[in-house]
Amino acid sequence: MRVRRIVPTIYSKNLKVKGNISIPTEDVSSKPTGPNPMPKVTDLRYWDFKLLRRYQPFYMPICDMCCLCTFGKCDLSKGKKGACGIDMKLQQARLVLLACCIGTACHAAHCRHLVDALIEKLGRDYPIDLGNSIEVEAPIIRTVVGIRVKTLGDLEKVLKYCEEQLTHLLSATHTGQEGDVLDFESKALHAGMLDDVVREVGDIAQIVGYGMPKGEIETPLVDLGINCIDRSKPVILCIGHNVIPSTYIIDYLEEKGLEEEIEVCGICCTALDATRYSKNAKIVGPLSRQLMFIRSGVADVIVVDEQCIRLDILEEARRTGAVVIATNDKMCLGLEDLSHLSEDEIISRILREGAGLILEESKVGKVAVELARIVFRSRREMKERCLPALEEIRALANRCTECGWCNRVCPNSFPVMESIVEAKEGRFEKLADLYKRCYSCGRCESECERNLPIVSMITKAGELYHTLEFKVRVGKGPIQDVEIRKVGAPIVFGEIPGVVAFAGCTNYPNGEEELALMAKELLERKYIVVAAGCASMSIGMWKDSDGKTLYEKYPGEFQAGGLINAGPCLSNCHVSGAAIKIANIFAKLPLEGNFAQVADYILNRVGAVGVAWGAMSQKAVAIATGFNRWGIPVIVGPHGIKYRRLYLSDGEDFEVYDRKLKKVIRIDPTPEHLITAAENFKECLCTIPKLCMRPNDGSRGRSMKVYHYVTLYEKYFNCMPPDLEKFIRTERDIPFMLKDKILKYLEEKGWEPRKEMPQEPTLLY
Amino acid sequence: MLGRNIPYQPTAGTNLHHAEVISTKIAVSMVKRSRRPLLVIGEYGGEAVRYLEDLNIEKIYTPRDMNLLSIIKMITREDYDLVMFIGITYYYLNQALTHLKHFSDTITLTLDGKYIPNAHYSFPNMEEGEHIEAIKRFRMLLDNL
Repeated sequence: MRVRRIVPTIYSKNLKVKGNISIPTEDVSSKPTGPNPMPKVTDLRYWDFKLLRRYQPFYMPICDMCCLCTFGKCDLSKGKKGACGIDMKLQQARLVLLACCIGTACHAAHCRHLVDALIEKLGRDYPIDLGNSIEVEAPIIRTVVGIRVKTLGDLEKVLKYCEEQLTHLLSATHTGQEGDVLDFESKALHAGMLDDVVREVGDIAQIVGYGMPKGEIETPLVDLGINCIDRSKPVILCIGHNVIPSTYIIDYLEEKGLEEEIEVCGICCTALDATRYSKNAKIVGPLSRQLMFIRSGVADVIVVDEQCIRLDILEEARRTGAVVIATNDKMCLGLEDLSHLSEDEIISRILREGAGLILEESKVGKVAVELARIVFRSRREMKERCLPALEEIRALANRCTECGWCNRVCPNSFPVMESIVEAKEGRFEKLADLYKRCYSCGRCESECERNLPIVSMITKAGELYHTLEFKVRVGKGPIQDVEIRKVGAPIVFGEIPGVVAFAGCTNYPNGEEELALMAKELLERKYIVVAAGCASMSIGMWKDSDGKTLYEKYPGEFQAGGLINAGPCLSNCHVSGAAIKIANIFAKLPLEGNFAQVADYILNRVGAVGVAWGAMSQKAVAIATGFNRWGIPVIVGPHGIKYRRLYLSDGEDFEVYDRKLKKVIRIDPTPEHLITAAENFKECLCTIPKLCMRPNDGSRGRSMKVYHYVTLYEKYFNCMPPDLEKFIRTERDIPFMLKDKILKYLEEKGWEPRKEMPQEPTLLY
Repeated sequence: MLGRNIPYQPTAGTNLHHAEVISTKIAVSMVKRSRRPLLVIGEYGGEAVRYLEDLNIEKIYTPRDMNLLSIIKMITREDYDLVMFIGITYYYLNQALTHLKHFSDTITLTLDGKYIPNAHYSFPNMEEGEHIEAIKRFRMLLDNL
């Protein structure tokens, strides 16, 4: 046992005492206090079943059949079973587990790559030092794995545990394995939890290894948006999630003093990480801007790493004359690995062939920068010509046969054809409007019988009609302990109305702007808003009438009315991390090996909710499912129900055990669902305050949450919430400002106050 | 509009079992035979919804009155034998309907002007004007019952 010595001095009128106080600090290898360190697949099944009994899986199959083995295809519709005995519900649960495993594997492999690279660079003993403001350095790892990580080598041990568990989980999806729906779901929850662990591993590794912000309260603002990129310079565009290649590019630029000469920008989470690494990096935007920006021809060199990259990147880059460097074993694109060549030889090869694979990332810096300088010279004039001019758009539009299939294949059924029809007459406003809402999947183009470059037409109109220059705050990483101390009590008693985490991809039903408008509404109401991944960029892509983004208007502190960009999608771990820290720092709950107790605390006390409005990927479903196992409810957008499964309660009273009253009592149904969906942004906004309610809310806190629920409902639906009576336990829960109105409503509903209020609610009994 | 019984979004089907396309006349007779029908009205029904609002059938407006998925969950508990939908985001309704398609005996009928494959019965794809006329006819025939 090591000891930390502090030397206090106490003064009084006549007495002076000096002495040493020894405060024991626990060692990495200290024994976990909880029952479930490094839980195996079934160790937390008891907790999952408690959740799943209350929040039953609700399935929406995408396909009538199973086609995963050669017994099939098997028709599972109308109660039929497959050749292996599987039925429709089981198949859905199995597919959800598979999706969660894919997502978790993706994060695990990414983080394994980061940790291995950093250990090679810095050594296994490199310390994990998150600064003086963060004592609870890795709350998820502490709780799940039961250890306190001190070095990069410790992170390796954590990854090993997760990789082993993941293998077991994936194996359960094989034919003839798991045969129960709830067990499949328990495994999916396990995968989600592991996803949270590996994301924490990866983000901590890159924070300490690359000197990224360690929870600083006011991180700098950086440029965001397509028009922020200086087209008169050579431009290197990095796409993906793995920051390593970007760090070599930035290092090389700094080493050669070329920061002013060359633009480095990014799309998706790599961009967020690049700005955490260097103030000179810029962000083009989230995933939804990928095809548009490539088509714009601004990038001279495109460096791809891993995850969420367009698979036709070579074809698209070739059209604009840009060259592509692939850098990751997960995405080799059929290219020859050029790592064995010298950097100059690689440059020659890529110039000849237009693309190359470099798995030795240390060579990417020089190759990308020097290529950018060469390629820029040859395509300088071409940059402006990659997109059609307005007259060309008009001419192209006139080739449209108005068949309408572009509208039908558009995932959001946007009026693509109508926009093209207007462009025939030289009116481009509708195309420009589409630019803001479209996520440039390009399906309209694939369908077009005249092969019109619809995405390019939309991009040109958008770039001409919109400013497209925004700001986003650099990702701060973990929430500081001191921030948690300040807000712990008000969150637990409900006086801060909620913590809302915007996460996930950009598969929005109606563009990025709605996400920013949701955040704005919540910030004005003093919610704590945290964002990560593409969602954090989307929130920056809207300006108010003063021309300011939300990041410029609201503080970056974890406080009421604070807007925090945690960082890339790995940084979603800091949301559940903050909830865990509340349990630990505020409620003194020991973390190590104590998953179920901590999750039970969060479910009953911490009013946090995740919003994955544009969730698209398997990673997003793993993140959401991870939140769920911690007891944090999630709302997905309308596309999110294609994940096939939600966890919905019946909306009737819940049962909990009250540790103080020492009996089982019936309570209000809070939080009402564990994962649900909303059709449009106003429904989502009105669902947020409801899902922030917790059984433990004090009357003052609950009345504040009710206030927001009612006033948002009135604002967006022009009526009282139709289920309000369920969430008012006694008259003291009614907000003073709305008392008359709510009492009248309750009278109509025949409401009666509850006889018992929970004092120490728990599901663990 | 081309492909009247091809899902409006062509990938919206689920392979084997797709909705039967029906006329307004058959839709009316289904309502007539129904013991306990329900009409779920979304926000995007446009002018067509106006002709259904004062219909003497139990109605739920979503999302104002209830979340669509909560409605579907409630339907599986209650004894509605026919549930009609109109004005809900196409792909959202189509996906949500698969729950009733697979795990409930309740008959579903969509009254939008777009063919929705995961209902039991659906109107075909129609132009907007044609759809409004169909809804007017539906209403008129119901009134004449």
